[in-house]
Amino acid sequence: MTLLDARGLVKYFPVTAGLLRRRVGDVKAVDGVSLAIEEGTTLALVGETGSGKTTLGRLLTRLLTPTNGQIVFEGRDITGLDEQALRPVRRQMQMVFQNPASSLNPRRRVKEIIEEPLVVHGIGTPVARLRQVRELLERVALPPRDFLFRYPHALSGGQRQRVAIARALALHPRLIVLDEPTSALDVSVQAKIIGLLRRLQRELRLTYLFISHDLSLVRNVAESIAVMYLGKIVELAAAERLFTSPSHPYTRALLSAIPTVSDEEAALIPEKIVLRGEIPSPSRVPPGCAFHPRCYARIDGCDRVVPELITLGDGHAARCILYDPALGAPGLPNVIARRE
Amino acid sequence: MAGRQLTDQPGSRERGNAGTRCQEPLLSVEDLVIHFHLYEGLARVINGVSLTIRRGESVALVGETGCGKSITAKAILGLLPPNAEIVSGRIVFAGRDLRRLPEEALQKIRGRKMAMIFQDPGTALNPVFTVGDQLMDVASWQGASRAPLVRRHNGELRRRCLDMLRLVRIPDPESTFRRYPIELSGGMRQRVLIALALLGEPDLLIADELGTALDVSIQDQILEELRELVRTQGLSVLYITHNLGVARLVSDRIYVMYGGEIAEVAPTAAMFSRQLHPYSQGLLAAIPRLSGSIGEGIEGRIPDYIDPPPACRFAPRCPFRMAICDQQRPLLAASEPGRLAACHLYPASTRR
Repeated sequence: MTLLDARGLVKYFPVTAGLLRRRVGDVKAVDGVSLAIEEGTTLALVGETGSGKTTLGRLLTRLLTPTNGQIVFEGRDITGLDEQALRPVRRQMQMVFQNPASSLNPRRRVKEIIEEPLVVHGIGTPVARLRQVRELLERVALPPRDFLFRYPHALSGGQRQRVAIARALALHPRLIVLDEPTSALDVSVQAKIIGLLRRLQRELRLTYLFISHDLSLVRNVAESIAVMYLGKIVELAAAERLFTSPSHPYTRALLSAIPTVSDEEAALIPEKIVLRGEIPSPSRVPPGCAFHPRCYARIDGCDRVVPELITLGDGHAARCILYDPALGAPGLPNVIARRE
Repeated sequence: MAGRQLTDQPGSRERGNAGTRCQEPLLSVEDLVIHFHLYEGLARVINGVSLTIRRGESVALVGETGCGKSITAKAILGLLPPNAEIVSGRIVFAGRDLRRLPEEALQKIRGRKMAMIFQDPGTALNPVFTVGDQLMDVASWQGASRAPLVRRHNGELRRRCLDMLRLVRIPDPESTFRRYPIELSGGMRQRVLIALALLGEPDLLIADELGTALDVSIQDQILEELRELVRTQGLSVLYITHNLGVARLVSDRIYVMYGGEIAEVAPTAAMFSRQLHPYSQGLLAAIPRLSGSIGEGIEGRIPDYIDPPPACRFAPRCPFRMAICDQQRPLLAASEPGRLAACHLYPASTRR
């Protein structure tokens, strides 16, 4: 069953200038994104700084209101709901943020932090809530006796993130948006948190939207992966397939740049492609294909035609003119000439 | 050309010479012990760290948050905070014991003979001066007093700065020279920081978490470019990083640090094919692989430096913990030819 379905999501942030704050342009943070998440699975959103992955996560949970498009959650259109109508929906979707040092209130104890969502939604008596908080702490493998009355500063980074996860679980949500949940942590701690998230997903049949910039990490947590570049999904595929046959030139370059730690992995990544230049600002998206100024497989027309997301079969799609059947779908050349 | 200028410097930069001078390390840190005076008590942070860097060698010092790798680098540069105290140990750079040098002499070495590429391109540049001002400032600084203001308008210096920007592949150096740091992207700022470090024509570069604040495609560009520069200029580099993938890409040898001590030393290729120390093993296993596997991670947390474990600092988290691990500190010793490990699993570490 499809738990969350988004169609043609758009979010523009206006850029204003002058005394009258006149609108002079837009930051096209998310520009026409469609995706669906199946219940009990993990969809990963991968992209570099400014690709719009965090904005998309916030749109899907309606923390931001989309400029255009539609969001269907549990079969119900939640795009136009007001705050009042959103309250019951919000119980079903929770978020875990990147930096647990700033997402936990430093003046509250662990018990109060985890209890907060229950209080906000008016659930249970104080005694019942305390019992629930204890259960939640046990779920995230923090012994309640030791942790209930501690403050966040007295916890390690990994323990703080466990508290943030416990808080997200308090309302028994179906969807959890994990926004870079481990990127502030060391790898030995990251592995522990990932193990916990996987166990919780199995036990509670959770659905995750996993936002990350780390391709090696999402390879290990997600069923499917969407790669974003300047507000658009440029490639969408099952996790394994994305790594065995990356089809968009950007995905391939991104994969080739990953520093690996074993020869086995190094054999998996494509021949090294060093991209020219840097990601343009989302307020000045290049015309045509947004990636064309940095693309090494660019052909005539890339700077004019905005490519569609073209299906390559088995749920695999790439937004690249090279797969356009009208052009004979030449595909990405296997041996790519190094940059001049 | 800046490149030629660098190589023309006297003071052997030739790489790979079998001469005796190349055998002598450029930098050697010997049994360094650093304590921090904190409100809570005395923190025994760096507990006998030794490391050497030969001329033309790239060495990576890897470890997780709080293992003491940045403090080691700061100690080498003489930039420790006031509450830190070097209790014992020697830091020998190009044959001179840095701890015995007066501050003035140290300043002539720091920033010139050895330079640091700072970690955060967002904060390491002064936001109120242009890139050019900051480069000229460093270029005109001779290691003693401030150079007279006229030097700032010196065409020769300006040319050197522009050459340096070209060397680190900044497109359009002339316009970048006039810009403020805020007008540059993260990648460009990182390049400016590299240019700043190279201006003094150093023998040793210390790169603290280079590129890890940047996106992977930019990080890759910069690391590749720096590696090329290091090769052509014959520089020695100490990379400080928590990213083992980066260490594998850039270094010849790796030091793994844990709890203020060196846990293992090995040539890079050997380290990645097999780790001897249980901490290195756990660390490598915890890294998510592209091939689709992720390990268990390591139980527990880094030691409390005020009350550290009595003998082996990794013992409380170690899956192979033995009785001796709590009684006797393991020595960093050659457990195999060319490799060092500090662990009682290897008889060499237990021997007294």
